[in-house]
Amino acid sequence: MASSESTTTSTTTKVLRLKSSDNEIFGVEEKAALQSETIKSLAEDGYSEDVIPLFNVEKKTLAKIVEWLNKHASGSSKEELKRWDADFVDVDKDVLYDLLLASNYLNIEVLLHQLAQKVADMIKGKKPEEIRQLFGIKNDFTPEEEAEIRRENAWAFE
Amino acid sequence: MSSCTIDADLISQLPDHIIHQILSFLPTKDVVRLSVLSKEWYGFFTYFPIFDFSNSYFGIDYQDYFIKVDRTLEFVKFVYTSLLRQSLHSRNVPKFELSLTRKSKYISCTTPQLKHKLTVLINRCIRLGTQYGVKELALEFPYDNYYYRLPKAIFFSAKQLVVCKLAYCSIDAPTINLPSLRELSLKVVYLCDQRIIHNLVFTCPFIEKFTIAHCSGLDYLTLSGFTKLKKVKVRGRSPNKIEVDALSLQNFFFSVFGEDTEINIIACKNLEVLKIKNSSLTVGAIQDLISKFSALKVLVLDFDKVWDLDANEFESIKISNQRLEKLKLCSDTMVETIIDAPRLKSLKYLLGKIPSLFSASTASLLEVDIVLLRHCRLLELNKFLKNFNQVELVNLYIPYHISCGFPEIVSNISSSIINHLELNINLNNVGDHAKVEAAEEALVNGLFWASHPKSLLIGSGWDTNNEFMKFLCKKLVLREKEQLCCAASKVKCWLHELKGVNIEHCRRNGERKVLACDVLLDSLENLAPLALDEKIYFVFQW
Repeated sequence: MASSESTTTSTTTKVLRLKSSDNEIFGVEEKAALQSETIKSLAEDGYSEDVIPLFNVEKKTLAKIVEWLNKHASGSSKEELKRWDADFVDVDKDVLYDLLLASNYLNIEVLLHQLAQKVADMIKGKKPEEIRQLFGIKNDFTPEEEAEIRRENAWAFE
Repeated sequence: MSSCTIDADLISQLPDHIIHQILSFLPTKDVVRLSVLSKEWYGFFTYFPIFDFSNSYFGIDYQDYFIKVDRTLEFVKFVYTSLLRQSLHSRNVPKFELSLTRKSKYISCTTPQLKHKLTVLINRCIRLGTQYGVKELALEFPYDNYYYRLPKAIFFSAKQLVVCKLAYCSIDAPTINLPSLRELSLKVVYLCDQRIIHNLVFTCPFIEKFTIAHCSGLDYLTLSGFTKLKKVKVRGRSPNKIEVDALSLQNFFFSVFGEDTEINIIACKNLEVLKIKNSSLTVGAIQDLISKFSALKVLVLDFDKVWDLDANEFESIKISNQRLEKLKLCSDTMVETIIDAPRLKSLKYLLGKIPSLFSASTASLLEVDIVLLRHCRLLELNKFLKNFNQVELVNLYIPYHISCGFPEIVSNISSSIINHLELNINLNNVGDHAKVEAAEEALVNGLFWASHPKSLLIGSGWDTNNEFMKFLCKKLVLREKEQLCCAASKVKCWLHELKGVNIEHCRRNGERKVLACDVLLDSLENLAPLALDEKIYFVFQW
């Protein structure tokens, strides 16, 4: 009975099983999953029948990615997607960082683009001090070195 | 949020190409600022290729002229070092954009020495920016009563150049030898040698898009022999004679207002889009031109005289073309308009006067936009709108800045009647309360009785808009109570021609909520109801 069920699903909508680095398995419709170039090439390599292992993505991140893949394969209107995406990338910096790495690893260009745009929006118009504080970047320049760089391109710092 | 306390610098650990992607979404100025964050980021910055050097990102401080002058030189120095760095990494520069226009005022304060230094540096930048396989080039220089002279070399060295846009400069080369060029745009360019244009067909035979605007040094413009030419745009006072002969031409824009400009484009038999703006052509010449193009689909005639005082004024025009599908007509003075275009689907008419004679083949019309440029009487407008009785979608726009002469009121309305109406109402000039009430009564009755709008969109939060809505809601509530106000007369009042109304509250995030009329009235009267920039959408059934 189980086998007949799997054959009917494979003719209508095939589901790929993705395994996170911490061994959680997510079922994703093929159409949604193939938005990732990495999954696509793994599936073509014959992984599609069993589990596709994604060694670089933890389950909490993969859950978010799967959410994104499903939404973007759901046929939502452009406006609706735009709104949804804006909410999707509105997350803590560490989540954003994990999503950036995961979308890079999974090679989902559209998502990587959205996330990079989000980081750029966070940076835009801010002073260097504010950016350092925002991302916890440690200034390893001596005051003299920093002053020299600022002087060189003073037009950008006024 | 917890990560804030840990203070881990995760972003600096991202792979370089992700960092570069992030940087690619930032204005050049922001990218430069990041160089100071840390040594790591200085590295990201130096390896990040910058191609866009439009200086619109300068901080704007109009107080201190001399600092501004210094900054321009500094900026150009930055351009130079960036390009030099990229050439050291032997990177291709696919696109090079340098724009210094906004500094024009300030550069005039520089000393000749400084100006010379700047010119030398700019020349070096251009050489660096154009020698590594540049495909797209956009250069815009400060205009300071002299034209920046482009180094001739760029017209020979940039063999792969596809797009070339030049502004505020002079070219003294006799030819542009760019065999791959597809798009050439010259704005405020002084052509020392007019052979440069005449030679184009030999040197850049595959040009598809050609723009020439406000250029000097050209007596006549002849474009002939191009096989791929699709779009031509000519603007400004010269040249005196324009001749285009290209079967491939689809799109021609023309706005020349010198005396006795001769134009000959009849040979472009496949022209689909023709735009004529404020030209010095006579109405006869324009009518003649329009009727000759048998493939014409889109026609734009713009005789709005706001900027160009030399342009001709017309009182009547006859537009005749068998294939025309889209027409935009803009005129302040036209009183007679005859349109003979049996395939016309869309008409946009911006008018200063309601034409006393209007005739159009409207059978195929699907959409009409009427934009009022000046006051008009509601009665005249209604009569005019009757021309479009058969048309599915008619929009009327009364731009915000116009005080409209609707009966007894001075109002600023941005609206579209019949199918869709959008309103911003300003009754500030009306005075005392009783008069405001009368004015609203007149506006509501006038608009609704006259046009039976199917929908109405009103921005909330503005006093006068809220007042108008309050008035409208009162009327609508009244409609349910008073069934008999027009029972005795044969002609029903608009309230009782109305079969039903739905009201929706559209929030900024796109959410919509259905409102009952009395609830809306209630919230309007309680004065703290609706945020600014939210909209109320009325749908009327007639």
